[in-house]
Amino acid sequence: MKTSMMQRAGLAAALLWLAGCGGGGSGYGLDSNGQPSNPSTPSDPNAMTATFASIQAKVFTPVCTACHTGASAPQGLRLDAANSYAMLVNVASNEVPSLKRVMPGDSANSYIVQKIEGHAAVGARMPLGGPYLDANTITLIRQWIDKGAPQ
Amino acid sequence: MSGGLRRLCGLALFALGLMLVGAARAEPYLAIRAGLKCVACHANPTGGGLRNAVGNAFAQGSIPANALPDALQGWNGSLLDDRLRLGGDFRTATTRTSVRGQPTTSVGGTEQARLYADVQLIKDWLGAYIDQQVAPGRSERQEAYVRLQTPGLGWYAKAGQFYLPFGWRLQDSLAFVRQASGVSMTVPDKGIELGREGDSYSAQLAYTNGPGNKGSVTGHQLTGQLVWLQSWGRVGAATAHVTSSAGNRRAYGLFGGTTTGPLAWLGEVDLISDDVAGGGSHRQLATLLEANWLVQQGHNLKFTAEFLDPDRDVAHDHRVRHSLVYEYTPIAFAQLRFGYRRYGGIPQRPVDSRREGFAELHALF
Repeated sequence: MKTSMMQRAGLAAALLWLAGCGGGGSGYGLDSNGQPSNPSTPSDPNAMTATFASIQAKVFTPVCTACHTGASAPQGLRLDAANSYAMLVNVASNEVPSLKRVMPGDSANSYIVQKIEGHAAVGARMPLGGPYLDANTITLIRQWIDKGAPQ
Repeated sequence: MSGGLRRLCGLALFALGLMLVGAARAEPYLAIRAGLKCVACHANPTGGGLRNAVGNAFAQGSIPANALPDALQGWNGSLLDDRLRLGGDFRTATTRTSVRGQPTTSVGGTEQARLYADVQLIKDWLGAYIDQQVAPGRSERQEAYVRLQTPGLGWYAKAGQFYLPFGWRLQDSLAFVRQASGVSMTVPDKGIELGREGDSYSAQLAYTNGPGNKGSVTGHQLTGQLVWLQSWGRVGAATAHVTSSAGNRRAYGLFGGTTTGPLAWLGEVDLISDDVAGGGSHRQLATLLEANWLVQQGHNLKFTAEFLDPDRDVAHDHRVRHSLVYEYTPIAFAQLRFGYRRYGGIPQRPVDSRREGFAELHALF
């Protein structure tokens, strides 16, 4: 009897606590990367293109920097805007050193493509745990690499 | 076919079956519920991975709803008079994700498969531990260290590659507290760790390279943790200081756990500060609150609420993650998990407000 009451009370408390938790931030005054909007440099709200700036804004900053940022970034790979290009292009991967993370002109042999497509020789597909990038996004990243990965 | 051979074949088939399914790590709520230290059930003093004899007995007797078939009883992971201990964890899952304005996607497959081994080179004094991830992709070493210890594990020292001691060692490496702190069971580091297991406390101090210090980026990481254990539960504090040529990091964590009736509670609060180029710092706050309801033996219902402020200097940008997971353990060594996760974030990024449903098969031995 006592146990049953405690179970019900515990479950009720848990459900109340869960139901009472709020949602995410309102996003008021922020851009799509969660940073304060800068009206002087409006960005394209939707379309991603095969350029580094667009990939940074649409993929690396909003998705990858959940883990790949700061001094504890996995594999030492920082993908924030200040570091990503220098840490990707013509830099050997730690997991498969014979492959560059981004090999300009050769998306098939760029390790980042193998990781996001899920056929890299080592480790899990990225982003870890998903949701994974859609085919169109991966195609644009491939196109950027195949045209020389310009900054 | 003799009984012994039949039993051996049964074990081989069972092991093969385990190889076909996917991975696991640690569930600290079990330690809270049982009032045990991590080291009580794991070969690794800081928990997770290979289970010791007590951990195997616990996994077989106190967690599952039903007893094992006779042919599978008796396995405790120990060989050669306990000089060699083996184990494994495997997880396979299918996940369905819904994002506003986008087609619903489903992905499935082996998430992780790991094999563990612990060798007592000089019994009770010197050992070696390996945690090898064998899937997905090519085999990859997660932990590999030698351990010098006093008998009974009062003091120990590790040298090699291992996971850092910082906060709850969660199975869910995507929990905000694990992602933001950069300390999880997907990010090992190389160095040395000194530890002390007292009657009512555990303490660790690690000096390592720092997982982000690779290639041309140099530096080191100092990580410390102290946990105070009492009959009502436990509380702990952790700190990590990363010195890096690409920018320093400081992280602080407070965590604790207790029980109220059939509920086992876990909580953690982490504050992370990264130096940014040009001065100043980027500060994050991540929290976790988890309740595990033991419905009856073999049935656990897990509620988790998480909060992440990805930039303390920016308002209205926080994210939340709520999870409801039912864990059914019909017999030892096998578990089914069904879960629903609801994310919340700023409306400008629909993926941060996604919904996920998953079913997972978890096997361990």
